[in-house]
Amino acid sequence: MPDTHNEELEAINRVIAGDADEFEVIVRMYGTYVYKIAASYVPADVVPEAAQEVFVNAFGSLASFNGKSPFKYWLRTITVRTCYDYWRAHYKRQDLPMSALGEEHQRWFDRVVNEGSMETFRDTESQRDAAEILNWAMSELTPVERMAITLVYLEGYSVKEAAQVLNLSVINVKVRAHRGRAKLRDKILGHISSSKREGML
Amino acid sequence: MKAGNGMIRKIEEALKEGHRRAAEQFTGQPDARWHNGVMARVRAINAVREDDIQRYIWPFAAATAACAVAVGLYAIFSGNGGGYYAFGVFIDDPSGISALQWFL
Repeated sequence: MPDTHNEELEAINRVIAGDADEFEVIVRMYGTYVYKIAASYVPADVVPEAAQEVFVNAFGSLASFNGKSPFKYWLRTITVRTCYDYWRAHYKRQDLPMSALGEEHQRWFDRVVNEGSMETFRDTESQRDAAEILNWAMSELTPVERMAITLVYLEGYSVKEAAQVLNLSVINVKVRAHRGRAKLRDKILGHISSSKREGML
Repeated sequence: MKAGNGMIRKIEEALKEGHRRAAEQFTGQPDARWHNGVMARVRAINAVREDDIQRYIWPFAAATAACAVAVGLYAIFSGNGGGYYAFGVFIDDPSGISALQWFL
């Protein structure tokens, strides 16, 4: 472990000194790690593109890494901010993928509401349905609401940590997370009521 | 209302669980093509940085030298004796006579 740490620090110092090729050491060390984190914030098909952007951003601001906290945490912050940038760019261009719910999603709601046990959602298909429903429910959130909800409610960050990662004030994150959650609930409840009216649930 | 709250909590918990498991089971891995793509962009950024240095360093050096010459000439021809001191910076004049006479 200390060897890895030293190798990492040496590579960082060489990159800062101007040897861009040394950045490959960092990319090889943390490529999978960044992929994994990015997968929690952006759609799976966007992960390679987002991860590439993360390393380009990291290279651009490597001189600002002060070594006070581990490089891994610094890179995690850049990853989350890059994913936030992804949503901001797409929200601005209004080209977010519009998703609609199908019969399988209705069945998922039905199972959750009527069975409720988490054991019933262990199969891959249910998890995929859950991910698609979550994507549908979050599609109308603003980028900051989406990130606040993901960090605080889904990833389990404290509001303070989320605020630090997003470079926002604590109160801002608290308000956005609360507002986003209310929007999610309204959307889901609205969908359930209309499905009930149509006799689908 | 309470039934609605209970239902929405169940749904939220199930969505949270789905998100957690989807992240755990994500199997995407960076491949060689991706690595090459990242490094190509990094090298391109670095090349632009180096070009910027090359582009600005010589004009900056020339401008600095021109300023030094201008200040020197002003010191020599302004007639307030500054020329002697400026001259002394470059040429040692232990006696303080020969160079001084030239400026008087």
